[in-house]
Amino acid sequence: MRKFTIAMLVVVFLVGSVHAAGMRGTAPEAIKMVEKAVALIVSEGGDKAFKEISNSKGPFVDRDLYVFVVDLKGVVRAHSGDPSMVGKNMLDTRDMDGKAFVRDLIRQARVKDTGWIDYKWPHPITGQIESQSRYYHKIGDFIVTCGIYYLQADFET
Amino acid sequence: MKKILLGLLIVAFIATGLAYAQQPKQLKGSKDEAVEMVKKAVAMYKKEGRDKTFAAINDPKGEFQYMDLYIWVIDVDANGLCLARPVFRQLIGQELCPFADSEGKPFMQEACETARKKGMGWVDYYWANPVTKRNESKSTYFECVKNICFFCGYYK
Repeated sequence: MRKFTIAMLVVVFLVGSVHAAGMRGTAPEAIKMVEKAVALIVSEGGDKAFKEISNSKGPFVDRDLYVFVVDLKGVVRAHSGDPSMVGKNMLDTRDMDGKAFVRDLIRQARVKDTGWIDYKWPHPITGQIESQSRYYHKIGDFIVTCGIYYLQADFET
Repeated sequence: MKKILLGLLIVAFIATGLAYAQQPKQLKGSKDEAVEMVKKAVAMYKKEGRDKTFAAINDPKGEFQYMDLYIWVIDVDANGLCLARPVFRQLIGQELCPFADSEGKPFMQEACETARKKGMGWVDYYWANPVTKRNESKSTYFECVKNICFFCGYYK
């Protein structure tokens, strides 16, 4: 009985920790995914690459990592996490801090081709709103992004 | 030892269960309660004036925050300048009329136009629920006294 109990405890804690840490991508992985998408756009051209990226079961989804591409008008051109977002204009979309992060992203990318932006957004697996840092790479008129989420909810009300 | 382990096991299961349990239903405000809260804020504003009403709305433990319902106030003549709210208080002082939601819907543009024309109405959009901490579909009622508009929405 004791062995069984210990085994159960180990299982419970393992499941808990995998759930907490294993579903989260890291900053180097986010950068790698963006560069993979950029390379695809360069080799295949925008239209074909956008179609390949906008596949929620394809290579541009890995745990909580997903890629979206916006043009300089704020229109989503590709989205691997939620392909239904393609075609939507996010220029005035705000997070709950009132941050127009796509507007900020475009402004920043015009000045510097690669970098990071921060805002709050629902985690794609848990659905909970969290702090997010998104790496971006501007290529021509398109900005390719992939973000990482933070464990602390940092939810100020 | 066996008892301690069993105890730990039970605690671990209860903790896991609680962590994954959905928000209880009674934490959700209804459509009628949202409308009622707006009416209450408007009545107080007319009777007690701006300072007292805004102070009450800004109080996170006050009467204008109830479960996932809360009042927020904008000046529609100042591009939707947010004047008071008990939650997401970072928005106070920001101009809300240009706001779009997570789907790109310019919901506040629509609300501000209706507010200017009719002085009251409804608007649907996605916004963070302060109780569940999720981005949820929301329907919001608003009513204006001249340029000052009071909003309260329920999460669907």
